[in-house]
Amino acid sequence: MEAAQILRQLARGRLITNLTVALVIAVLLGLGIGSLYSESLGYYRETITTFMVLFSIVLGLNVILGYTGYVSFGHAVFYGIGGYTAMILMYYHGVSVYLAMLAAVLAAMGAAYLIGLIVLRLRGAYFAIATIAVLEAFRVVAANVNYLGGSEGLQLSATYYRGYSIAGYHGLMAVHYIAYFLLVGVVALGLLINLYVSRSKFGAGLRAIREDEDAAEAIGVNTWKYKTLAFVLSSITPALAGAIIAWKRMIVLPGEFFNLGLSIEAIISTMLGGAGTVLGTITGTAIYHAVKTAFLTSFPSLHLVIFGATIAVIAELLPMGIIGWLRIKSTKLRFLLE
Amino acid sequence: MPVLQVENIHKSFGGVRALQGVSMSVEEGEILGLIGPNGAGKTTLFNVITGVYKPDKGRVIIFGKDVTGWPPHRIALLGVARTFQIPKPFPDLTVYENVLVSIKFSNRRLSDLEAAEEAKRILEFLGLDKHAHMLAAQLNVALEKRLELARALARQPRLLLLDEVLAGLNPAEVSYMLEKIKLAKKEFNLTIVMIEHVMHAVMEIADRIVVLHLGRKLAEGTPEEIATNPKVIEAYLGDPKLALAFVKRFKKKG
Amino acid sequence: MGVGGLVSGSLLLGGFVAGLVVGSLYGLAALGLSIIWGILRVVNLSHGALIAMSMYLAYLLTVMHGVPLLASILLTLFIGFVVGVVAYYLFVHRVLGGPELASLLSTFGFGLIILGLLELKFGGIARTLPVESSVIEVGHVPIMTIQIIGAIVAAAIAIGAYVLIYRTWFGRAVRAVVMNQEAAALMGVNVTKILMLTFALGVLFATTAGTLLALAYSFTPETGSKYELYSFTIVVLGGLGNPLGSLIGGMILGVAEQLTSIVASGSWGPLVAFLLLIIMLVIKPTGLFAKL
Repeated sequence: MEAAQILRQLARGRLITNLTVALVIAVLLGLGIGSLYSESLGYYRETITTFMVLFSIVLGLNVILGYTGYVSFGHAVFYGIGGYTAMILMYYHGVSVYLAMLAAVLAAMGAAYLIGLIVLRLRGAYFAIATIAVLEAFRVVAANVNYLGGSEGLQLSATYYRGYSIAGYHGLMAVHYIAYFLLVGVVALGLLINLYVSRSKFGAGLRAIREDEDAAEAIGVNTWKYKTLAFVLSSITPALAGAIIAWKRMIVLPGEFFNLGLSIEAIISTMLGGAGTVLGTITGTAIYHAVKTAFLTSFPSLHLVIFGATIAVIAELLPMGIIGWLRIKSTKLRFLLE
Repeated sequence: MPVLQVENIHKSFGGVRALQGVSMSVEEGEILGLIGPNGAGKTTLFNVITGVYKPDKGRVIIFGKDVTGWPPHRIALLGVARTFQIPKPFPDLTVYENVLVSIKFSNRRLSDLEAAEEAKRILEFLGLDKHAHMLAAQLNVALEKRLELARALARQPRLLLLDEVLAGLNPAEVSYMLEKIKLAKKEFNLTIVMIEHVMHAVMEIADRIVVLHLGRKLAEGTPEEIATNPKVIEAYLGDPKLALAFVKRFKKKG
Repeated sequence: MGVGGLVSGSLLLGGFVAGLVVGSLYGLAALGLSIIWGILRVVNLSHGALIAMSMYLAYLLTVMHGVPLLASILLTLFIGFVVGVVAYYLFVHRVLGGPELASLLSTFGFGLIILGLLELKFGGIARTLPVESSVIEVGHVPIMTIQIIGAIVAAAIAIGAYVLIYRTWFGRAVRAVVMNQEAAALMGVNVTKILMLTFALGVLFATTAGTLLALAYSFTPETGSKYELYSFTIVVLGGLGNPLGSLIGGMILGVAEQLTSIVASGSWGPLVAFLLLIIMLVIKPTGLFAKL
């Protein structure tokens, strides 16, 4: 294949990805706007909200796990840090959700940098376990410190929500809609981050680290800087989602915000679609969310068992994920599916 | 000015003294062979030169810059490339992608098209173009060694460190690689240091040879001097008959 | 102040002894994780669920079916071993040597299946085993004699495991497999069988620790995850695949946890474990007593 031909194929692949991303955002926005005017779409608004929370964590996780190859097993720690930071500001200082989100993302990025200083020295399973320990440590602290509300959490009163309104809805009535649109924004940001990583020299360096860290260093990749940046970048969308959900639910609880289960759902979604691909994050999260919702409604009591079996089957039969599998099936698909 | 100077390098791991005061220098355009028995400290010396290990004592000077204690990527960016004794390709990237990443980090400002063309040129040079879109994990040993070399050359280095690129190859593959190394040296104006156990090959290609033994420099000289050096024969070449065979080869050539 | 210092001094002594006692059980649990990790290179994320499973099996047999305690413990261990064998073929064999993530997820999935079944059958309420035991007090800290017996059993098993791995045919075969599977196979070692037995043995250790812990502490399906994290910490403390390292690492963690609960409060105990784990990972990830 000639060089120019390869570039043409790649350009076609990028166009497909761009269109898919635009379509996803358009559909999410359309559904939100529709739900403003049609009560019957309320159920979809809520289930898509849950989807977008997971998607936000997946989009962060994909940067560190997918592109950089570091299995961040406790990635929901940034969701928790975002949620708690935002709640502290809203609860103690009456700050608006928008400012709280900004603070949440800064706090999470700072925390990612500091945590990274410690855990990014580790490789493989040791890194995975250290991230679990970090998540659990945060949970224990949140559950035991009075300022953070202890095991009862911190809860906002309804009066806090008075100033918010959207399209004729006010106060608490407006929250679900505003949260939805904020999450669409977070998802869009996350997709842009992933597109940037996928196409940039930075992302190429991350892939090299994933494949072989010593060889990456030998070809001139500043591995420490790159993986630290990747870890910091991967904390952004989870933290924003955490802040939004803290505001939407009115409460933060240690077990819900520093939640190992949520971390694992994100890992499975990332892996199911194909870690380290943009299309994979969309495919994986969508399928995972749909299947989980179906299981939860059809077999409420057996859902953990079925869920566990599904995870095991995916891990054993399709460890590279759907898009990942297609990408190694043919050269053409490798160029087309980003 | 020498391309590479190593001054009085000491390096220990726990109680093991891997390098005990090694010094050497490599002039521009030279091919230096680094030989010695297993555990002599050859790869450790490479790792000190490339910044993987910080020496306990001594200095590494590359292109006149004291780079002692620099991290590997900074040394790489000076124009130093290496291959690994146990090949470390990027297994889940294709052969083409392996080379392309290396080009991207080679400090050259290339457009996407230029980079892709450069990758293609290097793959063709090493006969890897037919395998360009295979995953590196699927390559056999011989192709894997070529990919290591391709990825190193893709950086357009001025100093190339080769760690046993001929190990595990059959005679035909050895001469193919030797041919390519010689060609690359000319085309890219390279200075090369190579660790090698395939003795006839290193004797053939090297301008000068340094012998390491138990972390110290045992001898240094032209291939002929090394092959006839009694200390080297005793410590490494072992069989005097074999050594004699090397000398005969040289005599014939001369 | 003087009296207070005295009381807390004897409390600390009591906490120290209680820590050693419970720590040896932590060590045994960790040993189960450690040999699987060290020998199969699989981080078994169903470890905690398996511990919880053994607790409920003992509960099911004694409380719901009236089987005598000792018999139900032995039966539980037997079932644990069998579950280990079956789980090896279903969840481990296929992901051996593959990417880390695959084995992490397949064992995690297996753990979820166990947890799901436990919650389905027993719900989330805390349970206890009907154990009658005398209590001795060490520096105002009550310790049940049955706990002490459990600790001795755990220590004996850990030492036995050390002998098994370093002094027997099985151990030699295992270590051969660790060093080089192909060479081991050429020497006539049935690699798959060795790996399967190692996994089952690891599960057996975990379930033994689980049942012994259940004698003294109440449990829910979630309890296992705490012991799983403790096990990680201990493995990292004690080094991979080293039974005595696990035992000592367990005791260090047990003492740290008990002393923390005396000085601060019980709910801070896990934090100590996590901090210990992170610090160890950073300063010496191969553990204090690495071997194998």
